[in-house]
Parts: sequence; structure tokens; C-alpha cells
Amino acid sequence: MVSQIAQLIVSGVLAGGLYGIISVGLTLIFGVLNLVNFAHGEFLMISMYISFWMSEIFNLNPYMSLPIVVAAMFVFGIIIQSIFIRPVTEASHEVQIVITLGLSTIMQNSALMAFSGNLRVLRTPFSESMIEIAGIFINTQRLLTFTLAILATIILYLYLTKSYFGKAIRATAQDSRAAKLAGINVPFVYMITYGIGIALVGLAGASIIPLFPVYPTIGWHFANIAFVAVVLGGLGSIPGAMVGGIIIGLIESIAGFYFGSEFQQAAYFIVFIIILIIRPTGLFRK
Amino acid sequence: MRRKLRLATFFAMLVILAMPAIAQDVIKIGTIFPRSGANAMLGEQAFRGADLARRFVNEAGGVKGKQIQFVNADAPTPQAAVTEAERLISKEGAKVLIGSLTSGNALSIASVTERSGAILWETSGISDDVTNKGFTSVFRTCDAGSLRGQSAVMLAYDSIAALLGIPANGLRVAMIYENSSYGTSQYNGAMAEMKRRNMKFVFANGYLSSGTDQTSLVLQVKQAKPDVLIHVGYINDVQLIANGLRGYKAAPKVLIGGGAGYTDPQFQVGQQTFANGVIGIDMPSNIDPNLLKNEKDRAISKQFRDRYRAEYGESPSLAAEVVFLGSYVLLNNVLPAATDMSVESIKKAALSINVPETINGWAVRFDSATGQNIGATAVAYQWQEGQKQIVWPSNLKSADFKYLPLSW
Repeated sequence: MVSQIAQLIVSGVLAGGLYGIISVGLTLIFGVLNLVNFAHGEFLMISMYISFWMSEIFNLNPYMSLPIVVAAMFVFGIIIQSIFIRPVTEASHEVQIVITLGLSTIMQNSALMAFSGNLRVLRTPFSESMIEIAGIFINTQRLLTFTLAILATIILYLYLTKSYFGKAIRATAQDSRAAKLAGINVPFVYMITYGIGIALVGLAGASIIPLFPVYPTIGWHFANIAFVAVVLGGLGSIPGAMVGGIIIGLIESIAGFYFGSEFQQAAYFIVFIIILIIRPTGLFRK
Repeated sequence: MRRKLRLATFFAMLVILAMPAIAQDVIKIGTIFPRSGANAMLGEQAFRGADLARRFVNEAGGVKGKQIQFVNADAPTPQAAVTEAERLISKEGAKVLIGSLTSGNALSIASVTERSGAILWETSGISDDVTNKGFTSVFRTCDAGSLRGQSAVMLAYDSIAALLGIPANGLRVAMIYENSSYGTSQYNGAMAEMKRRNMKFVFANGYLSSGTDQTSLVLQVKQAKPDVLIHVGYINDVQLIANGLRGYKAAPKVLIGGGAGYTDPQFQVGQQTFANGVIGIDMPSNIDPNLLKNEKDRAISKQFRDRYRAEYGESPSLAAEVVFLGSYVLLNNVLPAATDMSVESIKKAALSINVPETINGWAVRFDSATGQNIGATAVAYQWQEGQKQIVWPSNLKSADFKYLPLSW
């Protein structure tokens, strides 16, 4: 009984770390650009495809190609921001939603045309390998993904709080007009922040490809959860997004086991509503 | 210059005037499949099947001298299916819609065809509800989901128990199923068969196929320790759950899959050698043409396969084949038997046909109360050394059923 609960907690936390890293990029973009990025899931899908093709063409293990995928997604994010997002930075939320939803559809359909709807599966020696400790199974790949997610979140947090440019990003997030008056190049901050947000989702994509087959609509499933995690943790809060993701993973795991898999989503939405009633700004937003 | 312009205008007017005449020479049929979104891959294959049927019939002279023209719609979700079905009927003038691949879409489209006075020609959505909800204008050529669930239970108790050396009344059977009408229909059929045998599942639960983490479900299966696990799922969720069963050492002795997730070639792509020994209950497909009794059916079967391979560079999938045969029956048997192209005449013709054999061995004869093809049956496939073999029933089998312990 105890080991069963421990198993559920371990599985839930590991799954949550994965949701967390996807959510961190989303919350960063929202916090600084005040933009709800509905194309976030599609960036995840694209990074998974890049990682997959790197393995297929150059025989590169996803962890070897991870820095390349992250860098490519950073550049891709900057290009997308410069062409599509920058013109609507000051526009209403409705306009921004239409733009990001449009981007999402374009990316999804482009992937469908380029790669068809077929599943692409990438197996690594870690894909299904398990570590067993006192009767508790830990998936090595998920553990690696979780570790990467936590490390990336800590590095990002430190970068935002300690570095000069990180402080410029936070200043822009707090008040873009004041930041501009203080001499911060706000459009440049927006561009780089969007790039970092997409690079983070690239990191997520490259690290989950050994666990999930990639197909053009896979991003939607994860983006859905990421939106809940971001609101749960507090819009714009980096640690909040990670904790939000872990909470969802835990609820999914425990509620799914004790109340049935059909109740998984309902369970985290119930907790989500309760937390928002108690703390309408989310767990970590002041 | 002006003279040339006048000449061009004259010809343009001629073309416009001729258009209604051209339009009268075609019979418009709607197709509606999910060709984008999560089911895009199967949806596209399904459409190809329907389109090949159309081209075969057109190349053979059409229906009563008229060519068949398709008006096509993409319906990635049941909501989109409603809008698109309405468009095909009201704007494009289609009286018959060929669909739908997914049961959710089929039910949405059926509600539109019912109130619009059109026909849903269902080739591939298997939920029992499609023909059990009292729709008067639905004809389904493929099998009903409950039949597959029932077949899975029959296979477990009548064949597998003996192979495992377990008395049938001691066999531990569990079932998990994605909880849309697709999976639920199969669960209901399986439950009915279990009750008939006075047996109980050691564990049975539905789940959301869009879930990204199925660990808790896998752990529940592990706790139940089944000898046989019946699992109904789509392609993506089946991959996740199969990986989980293996990773958490929760694999049963025998795994019986229900439908696409286990019988589509993508299952083998994802699971590679682990697919070996896994069973899938589905529609018959890709059967040896020599098993067909009728020479004409053998020829069509061959023609369909060759043409599909030549045009799309791959063998036709089960979805492509089942949609092809359903569409072919409509275009080749039903429409020519209709006195005119009114909905009532087509319905009357559909109820009158008795096709003894199609390319997958099914007969086609519709139940007048429900519109269900009573000649549609389910078969069991088994993955053997990378090949999908039909192992049950004996009249369609391509290989013997073997007990291949899962190397999980």
C-alpha cells in the first residue's frame, strides 16, 4: 500500500516535471510580452520533429542533438516573433489570440503536409528502461527529462534574477513604459524573451521524443495542460509554472489510480478551481 | 483587340450557359472524413479508398451513364462534422454522404442527415449508436463495435485459455478501453458476452485517449494481474499504454487489442519486435484473394491493391480498404439499382440489395430496422514476425493462431 502510493507520487512528479518545463516557456512569454501563445504546443511538436529527423538523418541521440534543437528553436522563435508577434505587441488580446491561433493552425497543417499524420517513433536505450528501488519503478527517461526540466527552470530563474539582461526582462515585465524610459530596448527584450520561451519548449520537445511518438497534433494535448499549470502557478511566475505542472502530474496519477482514468482531467480541474477560489492570482503570483 | 475581347466574352458566355447541362451529367456524392487533426492519417487513407471506388465506377461508365462527382469535406472533430455535413447537403447539393472513420463524427453527421433528408453511408465508424439510435437514413457497411468486444471475449475463453493451460472458468480477463463511443461499444459487447458466460472482468475501466500520462491506468492493470488484457484504443494512446505495460512490468500473458490502435501498421512501427504475438480484433482486410469465391471480386481486390500501391506508394491500410468496399457497394450496387437519384429511391435500393461477397469477404445486406449490414463480421489478427496475419475465423485465416509469449 505504502509502496503503491510512493509509486504514484514518483510517477506523478516525473510526469509533472515534463508539464512544468512546457509551462515555463508559456508563462515567461505571457509574463513579459503579455501574450497568450496559443501556438505553444505546435512549437513543441516542431522541436520533436527536429529531434526526430536529427536522429534519422545524422544518427544523433536526442540528448546529443538537444543543444542544436534548443538553439534552432530559439532562432525560430525570434523569427516568428519578429514577423508575426511584433506587429501586434500593442494590439488587443483578441488580435493576439487570432494571430497565435493562426500560427498554430499553419504550423500544424504544414507539419501534416510535410510529414503526413504518421507517427514517428524514436527509441533510445532509456526509452523504457526502469530503475527499481524498493519496489518502486522509475522510468530512466522520465527521470532524465525531469532533471533537465528542474535544471533549466533553476538556470532561467537565476538568469532572470541575477544577470543584467534578466533584470531588464523583469523590468519590462513589470512596466514596459518605465523600462523604456530607463533606457531598456523593450522590442529587443520582447524578441529575446519570446526566443527563450520557445527554446524552453524546444528543450521539452527534444527530451520527450523518446517517450512520445510525434505527429502533427501532439502539441495540443500538452499545451492544454500547460495552460492550466500556468494559471495554477500564477500567470508569469516561473517557479509557479513548474510547481503547477508537478501538481497536475500528481493529481493525474493519484486520482487516475483511485478514481479511474476517466476522472484524471476532471480531478485536476476541480483542484484548479478550488485553488483559484482561494487564491485567484494563482499559487505564486503576488 | 476589341474583336478578340468580344470573341472571348462570347466563348465565356457559352461556357457559362453550358454549365447546368454539364452539372446534370454528374451525380454528386459527399465525402466527409477527418483529413486534418489527430485522425488525419487514417482520414486521408479512408478518403483515398472512397476516391478509388469512385474512379473505378466512373472508368466503367459511371452510374446510368452519369459520372460520379465527389464533393469533399474535412471534419477533424464531431463539431466540424456537423458544419461540414450541413454545407455538403445545403450548399453542394449532396444527397448521400460517405463517412466517417470515427464514430463521434458518424453520430454528428447522422443527426444532420436525419433532419436534412439526406443519407449517411457509413463505411468505417463502428459505434453501436450509429445504427441503434433510430436514425432512418443511415446505412452502415462495416461491423458494429459490440461485435468486436464480443469476439475478443469469445477468443479469450474459447481459444486462448486452452493455449495457456488455464481452465476457462479460472481465466483472469481485464479490459481497458478509450471512453468515446468507439471504445464503449466494444466494452458493451464484451460485457454482454461475459454476462452470457457468467464471468466477470478482474478489472475494467475506460480512459481518455487524449491523456498524456496513462501510468495510473497501467498500475491498475498491474494490480489486477490479468492473464488476458483486452484493450481498445486509438493509435497514440495504444503506444503510450503498451510502452507503460512493458516499462512497469505489467504486461499480461496475452494482449488482445480492439481496432485501429493494434491493427494499423503504425502499431508495428511503434512497437517493433514487441508487437510479436499481440492480437488485434478488427474488420477483415487484406485477405488472400484466393479465399474469395467470386472471380469478379478477386479481380477488384487485386485492381484495388495494385492501383493503391501505384498511386500512393504504400499498401492500402485497413481504413482505406473498408471505406473502398463500402463506397464501391454504394456506387456499384446501390445507385444503379435506384430508379432515380432521390433519397427515397436510394434508400429503397439499399434495402433491396444482397451482395454475396465483397473484397474482404463480407456480404452486404442491410437490416431494414437499423440500416446495419448484417453480413459484416470481425476477425482476429496476430502480429507474427512483423507480419499481420488473420488467425480467426478459420475460413479467412492466413496463418495459424500461435501462443507467442510477449517479450515484454
